[in-house]
Amino acid sequence: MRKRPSGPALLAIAAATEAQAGPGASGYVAAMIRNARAIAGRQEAVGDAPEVTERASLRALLNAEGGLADLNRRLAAAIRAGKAPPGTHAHLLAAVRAELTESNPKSLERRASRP
Amino acid sequence: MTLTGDQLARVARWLSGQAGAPVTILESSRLSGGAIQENHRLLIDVAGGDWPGRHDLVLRRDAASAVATSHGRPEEFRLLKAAQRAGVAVPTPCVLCEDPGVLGGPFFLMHRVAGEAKGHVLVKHPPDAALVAEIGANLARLHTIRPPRDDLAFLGDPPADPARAAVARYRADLDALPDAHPAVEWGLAWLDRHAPPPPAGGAVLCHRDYRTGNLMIADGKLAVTLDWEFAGWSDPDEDIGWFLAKCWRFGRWEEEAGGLGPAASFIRGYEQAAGRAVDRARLPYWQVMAHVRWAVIALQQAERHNSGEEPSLELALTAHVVPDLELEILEMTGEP
Repeated sequence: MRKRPSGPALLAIAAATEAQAGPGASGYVAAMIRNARAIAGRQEAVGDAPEVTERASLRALLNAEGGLADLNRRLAAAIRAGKAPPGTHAHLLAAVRAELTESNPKSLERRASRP
Repeated sequence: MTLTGDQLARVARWLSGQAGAPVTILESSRLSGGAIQENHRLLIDVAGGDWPGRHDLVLRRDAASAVATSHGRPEEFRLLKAAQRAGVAVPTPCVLCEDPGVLGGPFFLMHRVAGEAKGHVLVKHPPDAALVAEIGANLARLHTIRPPRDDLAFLGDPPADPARAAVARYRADLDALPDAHPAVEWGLAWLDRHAPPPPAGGAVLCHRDYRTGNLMIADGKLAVTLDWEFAGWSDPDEDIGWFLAKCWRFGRWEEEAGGLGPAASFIRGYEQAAGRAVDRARLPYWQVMAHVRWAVIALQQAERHNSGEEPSLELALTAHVVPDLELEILEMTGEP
């Protein structure tokens, strides 16, 4: 599940930061603004597809209905209780990789090449 | 905010009383620093007394917007004193002022040290086995500080079982956040199942943020250890695992000691100074703990933005380092 702030909320704080910094934004601030817009842009490009996939996977894993946040809460509670259903690790890997393609796709590329 | 003329005059008067001689502030400027502390450079001249001559100092105090953190300035001052006596490279602490009549809150002065601490700059230098060995030895000297210590009583009692105490703390931290984070929970469940026995020699003083970024390097040598606000009694392997964790290599993965050099040199430097062998089999556990802990802190920082408490793009973006940490946690732990 996407970490908050995502999408529009991320764009909003980027815009507010840009307005406050003005044209004299430092390199560090400008890089943060670019990064926030890049993440929000990648999220918009894929829309809600990753979260639809994640919710379907959670419903099958937990054999339960519910919204995405609710199902994630149930999975977290099951893991803590030592009752993670079989397939939990594979589910989490897929969900986290999908998130990483939005938050930091370069990290996935680097992982492929590092020892 | 910069110190006003009135504030500087009060500081000079207070310092004169401490020094037993007139103190003149020759220069003052705000240094870059965190949102929690304010750092000001003070160049002073002392006309006689115990510390005659010019001194290039840093005045550290809580920022106006300070939130409750683990340690305030008086505690940090006492940690620096204890660390320095143990032979740890730290900025020399000079005097602590707890009289609110001077600057409204406590502050202390320490010697200013020049150097480079930024991780992304340091990892562009060639790998340096001697430097990471010195960083290891410095950490071993810190770990000679053991409880009980009257001067460090504010740290509380050492945990009987540092690993399980950490798992309990991070679970409570997650419970205070609005969303669930099952990948971090997965890491905590693994840490709970695999918790090592408490350290044979008992808990020691750990820095708990000992990593590239908090170590100032000058001319290829370790100059000082910064950022003591998380220090506490723990398992010495916690600090070793934190320093070696992949998330603190600033992209230079192959240099396992903080992106600066080989892990073997760091550990050898530690062992030589500590006079004890590091059990390498215990380190992967604390590297998983490092990623879990950083993920929890990052989620807390993002929540400070999300809750409206402190709108900040930097805090907002911290949420988006978490998937990288989560993937690392999943890859390190695997299926149960």
